[in-house]
Amino acid sequence: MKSPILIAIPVLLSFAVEAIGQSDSWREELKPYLSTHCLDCHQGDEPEAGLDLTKLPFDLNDLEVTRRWTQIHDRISKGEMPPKDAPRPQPKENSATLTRIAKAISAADRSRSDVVLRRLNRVEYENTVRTLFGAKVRVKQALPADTSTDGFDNVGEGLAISAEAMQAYLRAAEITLDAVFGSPKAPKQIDMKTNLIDQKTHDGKPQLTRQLGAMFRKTEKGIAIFQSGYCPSNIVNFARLRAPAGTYRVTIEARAIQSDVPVTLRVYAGDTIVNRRERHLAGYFDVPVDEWTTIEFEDELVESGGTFQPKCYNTRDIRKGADTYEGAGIELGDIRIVGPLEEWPPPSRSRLLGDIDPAAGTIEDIRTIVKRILPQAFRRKVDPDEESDYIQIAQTALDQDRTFIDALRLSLKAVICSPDFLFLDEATADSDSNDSSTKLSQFAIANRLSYFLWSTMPDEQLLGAARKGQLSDTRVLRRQVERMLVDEKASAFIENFAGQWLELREIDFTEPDKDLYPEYDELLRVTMIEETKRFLHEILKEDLSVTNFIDSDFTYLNERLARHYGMTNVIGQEVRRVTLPKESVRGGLLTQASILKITANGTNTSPVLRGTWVLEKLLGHHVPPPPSNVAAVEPDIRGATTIRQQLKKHRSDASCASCHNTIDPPGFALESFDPIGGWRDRYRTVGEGERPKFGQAPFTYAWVRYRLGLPVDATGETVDGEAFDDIRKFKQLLLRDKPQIARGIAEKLFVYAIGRRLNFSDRSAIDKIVEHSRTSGYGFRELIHQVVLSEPFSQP
Amino acid sequence: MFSRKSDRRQFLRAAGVALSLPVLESVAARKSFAQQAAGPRRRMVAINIGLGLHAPNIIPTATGRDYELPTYLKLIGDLREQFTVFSGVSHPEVAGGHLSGKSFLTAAKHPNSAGFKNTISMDQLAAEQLGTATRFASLSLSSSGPGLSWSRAGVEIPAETRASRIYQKLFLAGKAEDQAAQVQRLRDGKSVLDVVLEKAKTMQKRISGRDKAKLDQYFDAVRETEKRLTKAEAWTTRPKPKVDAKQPVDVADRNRIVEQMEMMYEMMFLAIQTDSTRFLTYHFTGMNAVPIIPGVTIDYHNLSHHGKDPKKIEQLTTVESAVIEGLAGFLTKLSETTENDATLLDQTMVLFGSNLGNASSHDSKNMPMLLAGGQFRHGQHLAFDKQNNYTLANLYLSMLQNLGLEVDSFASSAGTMRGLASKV
Repeated sequence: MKSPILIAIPVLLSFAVEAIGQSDSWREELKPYLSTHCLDCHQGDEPEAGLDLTKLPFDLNDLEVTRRWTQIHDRISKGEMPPKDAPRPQPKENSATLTRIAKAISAADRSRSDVVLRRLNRVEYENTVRTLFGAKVRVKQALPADTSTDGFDNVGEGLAISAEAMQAYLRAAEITLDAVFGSPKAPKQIDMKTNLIDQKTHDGKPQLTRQLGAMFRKTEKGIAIFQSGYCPSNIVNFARLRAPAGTYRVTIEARAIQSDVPVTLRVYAGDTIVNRRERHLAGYFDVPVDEWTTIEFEDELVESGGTFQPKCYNTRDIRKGADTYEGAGIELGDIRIVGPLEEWPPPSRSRLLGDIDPAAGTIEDIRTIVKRILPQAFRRKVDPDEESDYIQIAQTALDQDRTFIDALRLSLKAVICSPDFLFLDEATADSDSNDSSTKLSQFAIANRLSYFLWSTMPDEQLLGAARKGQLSDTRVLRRQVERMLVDEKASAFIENFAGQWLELREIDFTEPDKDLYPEYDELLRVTMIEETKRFLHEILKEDLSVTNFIDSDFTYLNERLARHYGMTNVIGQEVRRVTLPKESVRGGLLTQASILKITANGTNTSPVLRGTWVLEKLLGHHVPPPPSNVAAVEPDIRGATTIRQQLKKHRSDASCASCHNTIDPPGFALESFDPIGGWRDRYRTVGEGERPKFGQAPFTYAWVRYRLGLPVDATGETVDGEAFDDIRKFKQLLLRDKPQIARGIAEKLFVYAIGRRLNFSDRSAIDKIVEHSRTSGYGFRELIHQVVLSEPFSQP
Repeated sequence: MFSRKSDRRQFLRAAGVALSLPVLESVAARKSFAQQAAGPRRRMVAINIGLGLHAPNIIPTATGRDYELPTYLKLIGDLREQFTVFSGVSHPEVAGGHLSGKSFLTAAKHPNSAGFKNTISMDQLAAEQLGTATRFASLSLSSSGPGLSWSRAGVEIPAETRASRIYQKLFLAGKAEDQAAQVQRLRDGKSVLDVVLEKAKTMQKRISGRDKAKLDQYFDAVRETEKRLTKAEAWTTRPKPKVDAKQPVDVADRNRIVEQMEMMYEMMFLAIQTDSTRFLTYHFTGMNAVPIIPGVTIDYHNLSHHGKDPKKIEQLTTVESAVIEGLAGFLTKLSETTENDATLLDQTMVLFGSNLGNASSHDSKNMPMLLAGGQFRHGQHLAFDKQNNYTLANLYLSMLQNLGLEVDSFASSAGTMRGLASKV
């Protein structure tokens, strides 16, 4: 019986032949070394570190097998294996073995060192149709999520295409073209002047009669509100207009009252009334005391029928006695909402049609449009009659008496479902050659550069440079990179590169335990992400050293985040650059609240997980997964033991210790930080312990239910035997090896820039990138330049 | 041919969902005897609880047939002869905490590795070969976020999260002009695919090496999509089954997970009963918020990381009991509805469990698993080694064979499930 499962074997199998052929020879050559130095521990029922060398395959086509052999190579090469107490192999014997392993891995690498035909991922797709048509398209959510490979979702190998994806592309093309052509009728224009006091119920009665004098105070100019929690202050009159989706300009007259310092106003937008459909934060605003101020912002309502809701932040809620209440609040006067601000018909429509009149349009007009758009859509030179199939499909539609616009849409739909649009053209300069040492074509380099720094298609300048063949000139490449990084499209680089490198996209994966961390709130969450992005932006813009990722004398804070860090000298919620005091434990990425939250699970922290994160994200280590026969340490928040005490038992086992001596120390140093990035001397617990000094949490005024438990021990010893007593000392130890920090970042940039996994044989290219950026003190931007100038960047 | 042994209305009321019942006869009447002649229908439902299931509450202490029902299994105790509970099972080399959910139905190794590429899930494998008989080859459902179904190319099948949308897909015909527009759209889709297929052929001449394999994927995707559009067009002109149940109104409050779950179970039941599809998956992913369930005050994800705190375990038990109640209602309905003289449960395998064996420590060993219905001899607790787990894919292979598929392996399987006898 032929099993249908057999079909499931990956298509890549056809490339397996070469290395299988050679596997036998290196197996034989390695045998003597392995049996003399390794097999004593690494075989049998319970091999050390779960590694049984008699069972480890030699087939390097399997990436997992390659990973393990690379790890073996590196541990021998660093002298970590064989262990210190075992007989040392002869240096000659060692180097011969290392060479043999390296050769075998490099040979296997050859079949996978080319960049696999890269499909646009969904972020790139959305950006590309936006750039191509100049239309505000929201289409990302209609496309299937992309698989991430080596930590990035733009790596060719991982970007599969399936029938599901193909169906989604058909749908995405429709959504895109709907946005390009705009709604058939002009959306209703709204210019509403209102005031919270004027809000009416559906039957025309005043909305807030019950609340006045209770929660809210009626004033001469409007109402005063004191609420940070439940606050029925929706602008219901606006919701009743069923406003079309679009961007609106909102102005609110406001002043803070009964306070010595400005009071923070926040505004939500969307379905704030029922909270069933889309709802989002429009912003936080500092409102000065007593003096009337106009708060103005623009915000996009993504669904029709939405509205806005202003409320306070960090005030105490009241339910009654508003007229005589003496606490801080905000008085809200007149409100004006104008929009949608978008032009109609959308500029993308006229941009596409030019002076063609759709009512009288012909097939020749469609040909003109398609011929114009093809080189942009395909981001390369187009063959003379390449457009013919796209015209034919429109002709057929016209023959069936369909409208000009229908026919044009069909043609454009085929263009953006075509493989020439969906895949990045990374052809070689000499298309007859398949040699991986050849260079990419000029257009391919332009594409690679553009998707690296902008996550979208190249602009006319870049394509122009490609047409003139200038993108092999290192000076031109440098100029282009400089130009591209100051363009606002470069924000996509921080968003997508850092979002994945540091896992910032995972910030909301867990919600901190409300009993343990009652002070956690939305403003803290949005600010912590903002801190990291602004921090990275400055390092990029000023070409600061990547050592700033480990420690820096500045960061970006607002009042909320500063107070979270125990600093009282930052007033107001606008995020700004702040120079850190010399003795501060903050500075660098490691101690930013965002990173500390991402590396925790909301309830507790694990030195193992945080240690792994530091090693992999910042220091370029590749931490092997735990052997599968060892159970994870089960967290215990009852307060009787700390995670370090539990780990101690684990670490006393020599085979565990061999990895954990490297993994755990960074995590130990970070034990001083709780799961939301606050400093702690003692663990919080739900069990027995001392009551905290305050009954209500700062900012949220939630009741404090946690107790203070065992003291934190953030001391440790690095794998090299250097002791540290806290995070500050630990950061200094990390900063001793600057090239290693640069190497860690260079590897991440390399994968993201080129769109393929990093191979063993890329080590020399990485060495060069690091070496060449040394004179700049390992500037972040210089590293980007060096990645672009590296050989693999211009290779297929 | 459909009949009800007990008052299902009562169950629906109890579950707090106001749906009227389908007119069973009208559906049944249209099923031709040709389909009966083909033997009983074989179906499969797979459900994963993404935040784990507290093991002591679901794994019996005794093994074999005479085990005492633990807390959760008491809730489906009436059906004890119709399910098997498994312990000491997991997917080999599948770790990575929540990421292991990706491998729940695929058993693909190392979902946490940097180069992870998923493989086909067992429901999709079945749908590929047996999915042509029904309007929908398969349905992937999720409470929110990703589903459980993965295509052969390792791409996640988009999951439906709203009961109203599922109902619309299954039962609402749409206006005549909408239908015409839909047919036009499907035809346009096919014309577009014709063009891009030609373009892909041109591209093929330019490329080499691993790129060719990637472009082959594109070819396969285009051809498969063409087939699907053709099938969809054919089904567009055929009337959809009629049910009395009205289109449900989606639960407004995302935190009402119990109500939302009940509605999804109702949609799955209706899909099975009307034979709209035979392969369903449902990913109950959980949430980072406090579910609205009496007695629960802590967010669900947080409860799963209970850190042995008894207060949290108590609330977690409350949440998970509600989750099991949902399953209980579903299984009961399947067992009380007959089709061609057999109950729907006899013709539907329902796999239920979690990719996490211990959610508090993110451990994906010792997955709590349960299989109800289908053509198996149930009624026991099959316990395997907790240290050295038994391969779960063996169960999947048994299930695929039970569907009548001629397969002799699936993913990491090394044979069929030990101790689980088939009735056929």
